[in-house]
Amino acid sequence: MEPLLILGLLLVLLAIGLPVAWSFAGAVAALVWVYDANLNTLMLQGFRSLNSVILLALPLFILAGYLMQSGGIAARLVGFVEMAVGRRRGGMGNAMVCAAGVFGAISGTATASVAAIGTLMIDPMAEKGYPRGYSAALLGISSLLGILIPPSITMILFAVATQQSVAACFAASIVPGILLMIGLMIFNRSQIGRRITELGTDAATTSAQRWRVTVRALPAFSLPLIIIGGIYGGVFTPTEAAAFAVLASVLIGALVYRDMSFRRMRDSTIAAAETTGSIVIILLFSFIIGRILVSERIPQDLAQIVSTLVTNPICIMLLVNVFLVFAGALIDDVSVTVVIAPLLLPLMQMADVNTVHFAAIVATSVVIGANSPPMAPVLFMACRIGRASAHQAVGPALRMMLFVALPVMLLTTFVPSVSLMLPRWLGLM
Amino acid sequence: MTAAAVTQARGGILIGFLTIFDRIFTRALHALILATSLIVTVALVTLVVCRYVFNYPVAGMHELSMLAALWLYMAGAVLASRNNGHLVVDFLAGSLRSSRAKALHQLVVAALTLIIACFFALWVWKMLAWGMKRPQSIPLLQIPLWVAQLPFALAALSAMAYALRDMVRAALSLTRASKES
Amino acid sequence: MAETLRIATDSGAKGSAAGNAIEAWAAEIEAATNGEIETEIFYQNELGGQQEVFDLLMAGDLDLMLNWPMTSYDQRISIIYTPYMFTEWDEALAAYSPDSWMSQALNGIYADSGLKFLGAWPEGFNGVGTKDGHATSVEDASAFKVRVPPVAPFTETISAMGYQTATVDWGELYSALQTGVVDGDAANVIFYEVEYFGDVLTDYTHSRQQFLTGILTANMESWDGLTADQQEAVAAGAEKVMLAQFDAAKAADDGYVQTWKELGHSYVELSDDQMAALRSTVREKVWPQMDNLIGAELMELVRNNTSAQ
Ligand code: NA
Ligand code: NA
Repeated sequence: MEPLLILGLLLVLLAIGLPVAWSFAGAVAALVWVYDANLNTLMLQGFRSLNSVILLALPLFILAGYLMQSGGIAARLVGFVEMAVGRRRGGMGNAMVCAAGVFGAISGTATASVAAIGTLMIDPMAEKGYPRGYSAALLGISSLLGILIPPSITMILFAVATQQSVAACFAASIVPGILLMIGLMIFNRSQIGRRITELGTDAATTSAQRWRVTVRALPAFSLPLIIIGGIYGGVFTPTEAAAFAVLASVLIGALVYRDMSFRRMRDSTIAAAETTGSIVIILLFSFIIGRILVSERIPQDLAQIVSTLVTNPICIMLLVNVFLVFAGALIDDVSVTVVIAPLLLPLMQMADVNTVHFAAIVATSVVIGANSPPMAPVLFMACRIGRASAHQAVGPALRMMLFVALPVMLLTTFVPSVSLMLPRWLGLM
Repeated sequence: MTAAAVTQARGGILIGFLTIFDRIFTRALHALILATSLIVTVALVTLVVCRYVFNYPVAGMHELSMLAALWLYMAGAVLASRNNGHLVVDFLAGSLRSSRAKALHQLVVAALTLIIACFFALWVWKMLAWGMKRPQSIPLLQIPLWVAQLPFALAALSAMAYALRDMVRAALSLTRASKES
Repeated sequence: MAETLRIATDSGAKGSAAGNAIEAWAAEIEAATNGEIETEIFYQNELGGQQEVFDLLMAGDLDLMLNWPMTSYDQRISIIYTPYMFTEWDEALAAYSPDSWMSQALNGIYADSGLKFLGAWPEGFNGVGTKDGHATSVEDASAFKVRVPPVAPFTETISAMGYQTATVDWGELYSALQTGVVDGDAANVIFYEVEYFGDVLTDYTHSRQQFLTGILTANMESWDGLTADQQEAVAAGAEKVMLAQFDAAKAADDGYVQTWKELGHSYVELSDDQMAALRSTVREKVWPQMDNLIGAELMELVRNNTSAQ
C-alpha cells in the first residue's frame, strides 16, 4: 500500500510542476519517513552511485556534444546526414535511430547514448519540424539500444546474477535490438504527415554542392571513426572514448574548422555542466528510491506473490512481462535486471523458458521500464538534453512503447528463436 | 527621510549586496566547472596514453577523474538551480493564464522546493557527520573521502538559497499582481 | 517479538557458494534461537556494489556479512593481501583458523572499525588469467598487460611479478578483454575467471601470490544488542560455516579448475623452482612497501609467522 501512496505523491509533485529532481527527492523523503530509513547511509549510497567510472561517460559525451556544436563539427555531420537522408520521409528521425544503434555497439549504457546522440540530433530535428517532445521520446527509447546491442553492462550483471555465459546473453538481445530499430523507424515514418510536418530544407541538390558538403564533413567524420576505431582496436574502453571525443572535438573544431574560440569553448563547457548537473541530480534521487524499495524488499515480495498466481505457461510469461514493465515503472533498469529478474527465474523455468531467452525478455522489458513514468530517468534525461517539456514527451513515448517496444517484447517472449537463434548459430549454447 | 524610504534604501543596499555576491559566486562556479571538466578529461586521456603508448600504469587517474566529476556534477546542479534550468513537467504552469495565478504557482513550487532542499541538506549533513565518525579515504590518492562528498553540501545549500530567492520573487510579483487587480 | 538480522554477501549470487554459505549461516542462527531471531538475506549486487554493501554493514543497516575486505575505512585490512605469505593450502588454513595469529590480528583491526570478526571463509589462491598464452616467469610476464584491482598492494604485487599493469573498471573489463585493451585479469581466484570471463580468456596461471578469503563479520552495535545466548548462536553458526568451507574450499576450487579445463582453456601450475623464484622476487620488492601500508608492527607479525618458508 505505502509504495502506491508514494507513487501517487510523486505524480502529484511532478504534476504541480516541481522540478523532476526535487519531486524525486520528495518521494525519497516520504520513503524515509514510511520505512524509517537509516540517514547515515542514505546519501552515502547516493554518493557511491555517482562516484562511478562508468558514469563519467555521461558528462564527457554531453561536453563533447556541446563542443561539437560550437566547433562546427555537429553542423557538418548533420548537414551530411541531411543530404543523405533528408529527402526521404522521416529521414532525420530514422537517422537518429540508426545513430543510436551504432552507438549501442560502442557504449554499454543507455545514458551515454542519450548524452552523445541527444546533444547532436535533437536541435537539427527541431529545425526539420520534429516537435522536441517527440524527438526526446524517440531518443529515450532508441537509447536503450545501448543495452540491447553489445557491449552491455546490464546484460553482464544479468549473466552473472543468473550464472549464464555473458557472450550468450549478449547475443540474445541483438535480434530484438534490431527489431526495435526497424520498428522505431517504421513508426517514425508513419508519423510524418500525421503528427509531424517535415519542413523542407535547402539541402544540396547539384552534384557540386553534394560534393562540397561531403568534403566538408570528412574531418567531422574522423571523430566517430576515432571513437569506434579506438574501442574496437583495443586502445580505450567506451568510457575513456568519451574523453577522447572531448579532446577530438576541441582539436577538430579549433584546428580544422577553426570555428572554435576560447570563449565558445568556455561557454559550451559551462552549458554542458548545467545540463549534466540537472541530469545527475535526477539520477541521484531515482537511484536512492530504488535502493530503499529493494532494501525494504518491496519488489522482491511482489515477485514472490506474482510467482504463486498462475501455472499456465502462457499466463506465466504474460504475467512476467507485465510485472517486469510494472517494476520498471518504479525502479531503475539495473535493479530490475539484478534484483527482480533472478527472482522470476524459477517461474520462467516452470514455463520452460531458457535463461538466455529470459535475458532477452528482461532486456526488452527494460526498454519500456526505463521510459515509463513516473520513474523514467532515461526519458527525463532525453528531455533535459533536448530541451523538451517532459509532459510533451510522455505521449509520444507511450505511443512508441505501445506500438513498437511492447510488440518487440511480446515477440521476444513468445517466439524463442528471436533471441536464441543467434546464440545457437554462434555456438554459445 | 521617511521610514518607508529608509526601508527602501536598506532594501536597495541588500539587493545590491546580493547581486554582487551572486556575480562573484557565479564566477567561482564557472571557474570550478572549467577546472573540473579539464581534469576529468585530461586524467582519462593521460591514463590511456600512458597505458597504450608508454605501457606505463599511471595510478589514481580514475579516482582523480571521479573526484573532479563529483564537483562538476554538483557545480552544474547549482547552476541549474540558479538559472531555473532543472527539468520541469510544465503542463500546469503552461495552462495558467492570470499573472496572479502564475505568481501563486511559483510561490508554491518555490516553497516545496525549499522544504525538500532542507531534507536534502539534512541527508548530506548526516552523510558528512557519519563520515566524521567513520572516516574513509580514497584508495590510491589517499585523500579523505569528505573532499569528494563536500560538493553535495554545496548543491543542497545552494538549492535552499535559490528556492528562497524564488519565493521572495514570487511573493513580490504576487503583491504586485494583487495591487494591479 | 522476534528480532530480525539482515545478512548479506558482496560476492555471490543466489545459488553460488557464498550465497549458500550465508543461507546456511542464517539457518543455523534461526535453528539455534528457536525462531527468536529471524533473518533476511541479500545476495551480491542486490544492495549495490561491494563498497556500498560494506558501508551498510559499517552503519548497521546490515547486521551480518560475508564480505571481501574493503580497505577504504582501514588500510591495515590489506594485511590479508600481503603477497606470498604462503603458497600451500594447509599453511593458509592454519593461519586463518580460529585463535591463530592472522585471526587475532584481523579481530583487532575489525574491532577498531566497529566490526566483530567471526571467522574466515577461504576461497583459495589467486593467479593470473590471460588471453592467448601465459607466463611462468618474471621475464615472460612482461608480454602481458593485465588489469589489477585499484587497491594496494595488488598493483605492486602484479608489477613485481613482471606484468604490465593497467586500470580498467570492473564493469568494462569484459569488453576491454575482448577488444584487447588488456590481455588479462590479475589477482582473482579462478572462480571469477570462470564466472565472468570464461568466454574471453584462454589461460590461467596459478601463481598463488595471495590467498583470498571472505570474512564473516557482524556490526559491533548489532552484536552488542544481542543477548549472550543469541551471540553464541551467531558465533557458533559462523564457526560451522567457516569449518565447512575449510573442508570444502579446496574441492570447490578444484571444481572450478575442472570447469575451466572443460571450456577448453589451459590451466598452468608453476614448478617448485618457478614458484620459489617468483616468491623471493615479489617478497623482496613488495614486503618493504607493506611496512608503510599496514604498519611495521603488523608486518613484523607477518614476517615472524611466515619466515619459515
Ligand atoms: Na551496447
Ligand atoms: Na520507469
